This record gives sequence, C-alpha cells and structure tokens, in this order.
Amino acid sequence: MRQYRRFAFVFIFGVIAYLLMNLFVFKVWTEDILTWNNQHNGDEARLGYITGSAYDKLLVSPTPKRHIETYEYKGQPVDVLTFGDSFSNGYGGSFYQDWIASVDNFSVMNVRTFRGKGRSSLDTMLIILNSGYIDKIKPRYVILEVLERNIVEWGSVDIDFTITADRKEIDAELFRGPAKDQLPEVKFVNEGNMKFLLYSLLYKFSDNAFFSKTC
Amino acid sequence: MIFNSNEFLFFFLPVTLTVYFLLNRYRLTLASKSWLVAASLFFYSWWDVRYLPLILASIAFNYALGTVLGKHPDGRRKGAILLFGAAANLALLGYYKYFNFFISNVNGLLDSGIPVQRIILPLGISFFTFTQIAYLVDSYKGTAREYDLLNYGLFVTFFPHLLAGPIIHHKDMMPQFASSRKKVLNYKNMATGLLLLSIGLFKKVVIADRLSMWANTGFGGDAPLNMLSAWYTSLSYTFQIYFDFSGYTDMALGASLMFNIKLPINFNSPYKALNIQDFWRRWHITLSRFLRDYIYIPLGGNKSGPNVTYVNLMVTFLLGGLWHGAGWTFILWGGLHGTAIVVHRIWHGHNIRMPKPLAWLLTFNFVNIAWVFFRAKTMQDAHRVLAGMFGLNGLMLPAGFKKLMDALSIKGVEYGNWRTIFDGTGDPSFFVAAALVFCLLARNSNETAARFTPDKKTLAFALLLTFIALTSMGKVYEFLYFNF
Repeated sequence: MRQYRRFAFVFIFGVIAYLLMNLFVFKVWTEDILTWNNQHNGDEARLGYITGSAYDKLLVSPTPKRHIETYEYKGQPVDVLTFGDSFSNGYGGSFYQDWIASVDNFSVMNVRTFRGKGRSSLDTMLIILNSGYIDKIKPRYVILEVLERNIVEWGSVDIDFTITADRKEIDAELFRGPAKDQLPEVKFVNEGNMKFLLYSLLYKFSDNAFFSKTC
Repeated sequence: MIFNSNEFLFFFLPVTLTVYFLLNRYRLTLASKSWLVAASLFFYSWWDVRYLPLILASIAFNYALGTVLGKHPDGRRKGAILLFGAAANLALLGYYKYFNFFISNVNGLLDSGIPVQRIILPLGISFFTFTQIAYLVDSYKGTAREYDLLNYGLFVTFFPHLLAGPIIHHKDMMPQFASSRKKVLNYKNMATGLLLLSIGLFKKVVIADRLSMWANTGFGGDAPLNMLSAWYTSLSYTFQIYFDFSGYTDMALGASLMFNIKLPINFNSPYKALNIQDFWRRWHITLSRFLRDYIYIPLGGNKSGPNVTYVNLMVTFLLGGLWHGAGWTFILWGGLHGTAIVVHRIWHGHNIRMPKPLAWLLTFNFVNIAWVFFRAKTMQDAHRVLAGMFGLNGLMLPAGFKKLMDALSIKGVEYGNWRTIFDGTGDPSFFVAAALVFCLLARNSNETAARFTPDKKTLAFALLLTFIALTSMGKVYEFLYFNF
C-alpha cells in the first residue's frame, strides 16, 4: 500500500509542479505575446516566441474616422453595412470603411463578429439578418469581406442560413458598448509555454529555432 | 462540467474528494453522502442550471414509483404501475430528444407545417432515464429495494456516470455506497484512479480531438471526396469515436475509483472483434447489456424460434440506433447492425468457419462503414462519403506512386495531392495508422489498470500522458487575427 501511496503523492505533486512551472512561464514571458494584454506586439514576437522583440506599434490611419461602429448607432440612416474579419475591423490601423465614407460620402456602419465558438463574420451577417436588424437599419448595401485564403474554407462547409441568436445578447454585445475583440481565451497551461521554452533553447543553434514559424 | 476541463480537474474533483473523505473520517456518513449528491448536482448544473429541476423531479418521481413497486404485491396492478413509470420516463426522453424529429417527419409526410420547438436536449438525459427505467424494472422484479431518497439520489446523480454512463444498476452500486470499508481513503484505488484518469484524458484530448479535425473536415464539406480522402474521413471518425468515448469512460471509471466505487467497464478493445456479436460484447458494454435485458429478453429473446429471434434482434437494434440520436441516419445505423447480427446468427447456425484475418477485416470494415451513417448529419452527407469510399469519385494516389504504378493511369487513376481537402489540418495518414495499430496491439485501459504496479516507469508514463494532455488543452493561436 505504501507504494501506491507514494505513486499517488508523487503524481499529484508532479502535476502541481507542472502547473506552477506553466504559471511562471506564462506570467513572466508568454502572457504578453499570447493574450490581448499587449495587442500591439509584433508578429515576430508572437510567431517566434521572441519576447525580447516585443514592441508597441504606432498605428496611424490615413483617413479620418467617418464610419460608425454598432455601439454608436442611434437610429441614424446607414447606407452601407460591413461585416468581415481583421481587415474590416481596423487591425492594420485603419478602416476601409472610412475610405468609402470619405470618397463616396456614404454613411457606413461596421458590425464586428458576434462572438461564440466557431462563429464567423458570415454567421454574424446571417444572425443580424435573421434577427431583424437588417429590416430595422435598412442599409442600401451590405459588404461581406473575407480574406482570399479563407474563401475556400467558407465555401466548403455547411452554411446554416437559419442561424439566429437572442436579441438581448446581440444588443448587449454589439449595440450597447464598444465591442471588445478578444483573442480566444488562453489558459495559463498552454502549448505556447512549451514552445517558448523549446524555441528559447533552439535559438542558440538556429535563427528560426529549426521549426518555429519565423523565417 | 466535463471531465477534460480545468474546472473539473483542478477544482471540482480535488475539492469533492477532500471534503468527502474528511467527512467520512469523522464518521459523518450522512453528511458525506449529502455532500456527494450536492457536488454531483453542482457538476450537472454547471452546464445549465435550468435543467436542475428536471433531473430532481425525475429522481423524485422514480424514487416514489420504485418505493410503491417495491412494497406492492405482485399482480396486474403492479405491472400497470411499472408500465406507467416506464412510459413517463420515455415520454420525458421523447419530448426532449425526439419531439422535433417526430414533428419534422409529420411535416414531411403531411406537409402540415407544424413549427418545430426550440428544445435544448438536457445533458445526460438518455443515461439517467435508462438508469432509472432499469431501477423501476428491478424494483418490479424485487431485485432492487431502496427506501432512502438520499441513497437513491446518490445512485442516479453520482457524477462520474451522470453525463455519459456507464449505465449502472442499483444492485451493483448501492452495496458499494453502503460499505463502510469504501469510505476510507484507499491509496491503491486512488493511484489506479489517477492512472485511468491520465490515460482517459490523453485519449480524449490528444488522440480523439486530433482525429476529429479530419473527420469534421471530411464530413463537413460539400465537395466530392476522392477515395483516399473518403477512407481517411471515415477511419478518422471510427477511431475518434472510440478514443473519445472510451477515454471519457476511463476518466469516469478513474474518478469513481478514487471514491472507492467501481463502475462497470464499457469498452474492451472493440476493434479487435472478429464478428459483429463479438463487437457488441466489447463496445458500450453497459448499453448492450441494457438493451439485451430490458428490450430483447422482454420481447421474447430467442425462445420462439429463429424468425421471431431475428425480428426481436432487429427491433432491439433499431431502438438502440434511435437511442443514440433523433434521426434517420441513427435508425439506419441501428438497422445495419441489427441486420449484421441476424446474418451472423444465420452464418453461425451453419457452422461455417472463416479465417481470423478475414473475419476481422470484414467486421472492422462493416463497423467503419456503418459509422458513416452514425456521423453524417444527413443521408446526403453519408452518401457523399460512401461514394468516395467506393470509388465513385475516382481514385487519386500520391504523386510518388506514379513511377511505380503508371500503368493504372489507363484505368483512370490519377496521381497528385489527394489530400487537398485536409489542407491546413495536417496529414491524417500517420495518425490513423498509429490509431489502428494501437487499437489492435496495445493493451486497453482496463487491462492496464488491472496489471498496474506503482513503479517508476508507470509513474513517468502517467505523468507524461497528463502533461501532454494538459498542454494540448491549452491551445494558442499565434496568428492573432485567425478568428476575426
């Protein structure tokens, strides 16, 4: 019985030690590059787990902000409604919607992706349509943007054209306050911690740690 | 709450275990039982607390009826009470699981346009309903007697089996809950439970979830599948469902064993089966036993000649298929297995022997093909995958085969990248082959647990499985905008 007792205790302490090690690595190094805490980290830091190259990007928009986001909607006329991914949501530092609004003098409203596991901007558009918002807003045009590399993936899955959601949830998330875009939740025990430790070791021997995603 | 979640592994399980054994240490038996019931209800409610009253009402109803059945003298009235109880349980299950299926079929037949309801299937309803129907039948037969609501509540809600089985019997469980020896922390059970938990977690999180990517990709699209893609799609699912369900069961058995409660095993290397009857003695064993004891035998079993036996078998398997899900694909899956069992009986009756490798190949491929109907959302999806598997969309071999087998080009065989459909998810070949070898050659979890000796090698093995599984549970996305 003592052997079993030792097995159980060593196993439990082993797991606790592993959790603590992950917590340490996460808090000291990887949290900043894997979570939304420091959203302006560069790609190199994130893809290559090079925490030393993390920096704050200065995002500059060439056009003044003329489009509105859903939380700024107060019933005003909207000509163009836009749905899309990062390109539509200004992650490069500017919005193409501002360009349309400036050049064509349209009123443009952007709808960020309605959260939920596996939901895309296409799902968001269908949810907004099926929940009656399009009828309420009455836009003249709807733009659905998707990156070229994702179009095959979109076209090859079953699209649920009847998808809908509770209007209270939609209102709460999109229309009542600034939409918070977040990275998927990252647990403190994660594969990124292991990659960070491995790559940190391998960078001593190879500029791209042999198989990191940096070139 | 699910077993492969941080909440369960690092909060719920350690806290429940610690408090349970502390209460028992101070001989607070009633408090320890109450604690386990409360913890199990908390476990159940974690998903959606709105369904807590449903399971509580179901427990109260069946407890009351079981008490009446236990005290009632034998006779027609007792039979009527049992019938009423079984019907009420099935009505509850029928409403939540089959109502919309029924309505959509009525609409399809009569063009009646009845609106379908927004019904969310409560977690584990199929399992706790079957567990309680079995209890009512056992009470009717006099093999189960329970006059303590707390005991009965613990029997139904004990969290390791609550959501996905194994389906348990009152007479197997209650003596264990009552035994005073089981209330003391047992390090052998604790260590074996931890080993089973680590194996199950690894099977679920690392193997099954990986295989699910290829199965989901293949079954999810609309594009025609070439032969290799279709086979990898179906095989990925065949192994996914095994590693997923058996992994979950391992975790259930492991968690339960930590409380010194032995749950019945549910899987015994089913893909080693040499015939379909053998498969059903190895796959979801507690369900097979339930269907045999509570449907097949009450229908008459094999007592009324071969033809009636075949009908009884078909009915049992069709209902078994329907139990798995409300859809024609599930019914067809059950029908296929029923037919295979009937064919096996006829074959067996003629005493014809088949070489073992051929018997395995036939059984495994039948099971694999039948899973296509089980997994497909619609008949069209099933047809799409099967069309690919049977070569109706052509055969494309890896480009490297061109030099070796160029003569086949005349027969329409193409060479190139056959796995374009899996782009972005990696190559399934190695993983599927490894899963097959593992299923055929490796010891299953129950055998591993039975031979368990707490040496350094096993400890390192269990820790390694756990570390890999925990790490895999924490997916990260380096491509920041991937999900937007």
